[in-house]
Amino acid sequence: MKVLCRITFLLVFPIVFMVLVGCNTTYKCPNGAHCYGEVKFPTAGVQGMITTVDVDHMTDTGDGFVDNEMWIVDRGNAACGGTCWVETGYVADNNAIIGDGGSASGIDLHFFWADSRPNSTFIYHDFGLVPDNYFGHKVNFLILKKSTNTWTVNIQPVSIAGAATLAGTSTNNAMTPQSAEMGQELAGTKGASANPVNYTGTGIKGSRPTGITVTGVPIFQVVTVSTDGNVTNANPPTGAWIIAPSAANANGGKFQTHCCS
Amino acid sequence: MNRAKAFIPLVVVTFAASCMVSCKHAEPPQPAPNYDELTQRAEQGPHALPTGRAAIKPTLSGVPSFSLDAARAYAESGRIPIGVARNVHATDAKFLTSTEVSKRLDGATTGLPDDAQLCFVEMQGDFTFAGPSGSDPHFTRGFEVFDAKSGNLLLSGGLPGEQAPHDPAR
Repeated sequence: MKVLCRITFLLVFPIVFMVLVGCNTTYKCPNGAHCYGEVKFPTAGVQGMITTVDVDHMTDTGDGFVDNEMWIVDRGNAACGGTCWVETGYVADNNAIIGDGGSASGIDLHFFWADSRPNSTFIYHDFGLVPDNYFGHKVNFLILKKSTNTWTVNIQPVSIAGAATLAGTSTNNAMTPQSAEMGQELAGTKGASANPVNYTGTGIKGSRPTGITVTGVPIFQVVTVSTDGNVTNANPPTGAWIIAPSAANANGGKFQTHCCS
Repeated sequence: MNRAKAFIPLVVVTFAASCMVSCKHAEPPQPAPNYDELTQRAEQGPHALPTGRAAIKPTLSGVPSFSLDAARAYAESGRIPIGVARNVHATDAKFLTSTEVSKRLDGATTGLPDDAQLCFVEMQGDFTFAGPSGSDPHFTRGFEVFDAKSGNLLLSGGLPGEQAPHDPAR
């Protein structure tokens, strides 16, 4: 009897402990030191990225935000104070990281895109609320170079009745990025939560020329990533390959993020 | 002995729960993405207009549905998405068209028709925004753009000019 009790305690206690502790997780991801569960694909001359992402629930009722997104990044560009980029995704934030404890709940999710352009602005564009009928479905995130200084941004619903593509254009943006990145960003110290979300079918434009040139400029095609990139797993947030792109028939692999227990 | 038997279902359930947490299922093959179709959708649309996030509560009939004072008050509250705004002072507030806002933002697109009525508020303060790992954008000039009809916040960010010194305590 005593042995059974001990075995049961040893089995049940860790689960109870995980539930109790997990619900009260704190983390250190202040401004200037946000945390990431992400993968980076260094690609010289990258011209875009496409990935398909689950839409699932996230909240942040604490002091920051949590998101799922992707970035095209130009690091080492002094004209951007070091880094230029274009990003898109969906975010839950309390609307004031350390500020006045504003009225926003941090429960609603918003689709967004943003850019930081050379010698110019940083702009966050709010596409609007993630509609209820998107949950349990997928969206495609796209960022594609359109011209020498223009980038197209899309969030495309996948098989969602009545849903239309959300689109933005990053203009006057002559950055020369070297990295395509995707995953979860976490800001603040407490109160965030995000269900597991998969990124699948990830492809990058810029690594494989089509053989076609226009006025001497080679045209590239989007091809699925076949290397595993550089994974950062701050834990939280968690980011890891479920199916590595380098595996057979991975078709861009399956990368998973979640937060924050 | 009977009491011992009573624990058996609990042990079984515990093992099952442990297995659900730790066991990995075989992943099905991944479908090949059709990038040509997705890039065509990006070029051709149709595209939905951005709606922004709830911000200023409309109090007036017609467009604009709120006063410039209400816009200034909202901006000075420091509520700014994916960022931190401190010591905020609204220095300018105007109702402008989408085209006029775009000019103020170095040609940035608003995503709305050229003649859409918007409210532009410029601010001074300490503004910090999020970005990819390793980035840490700070500004001393910020802005917010609201839909003049709904009061929703459409755009926000930092304006070029003097870059604020990095303060890790922020």
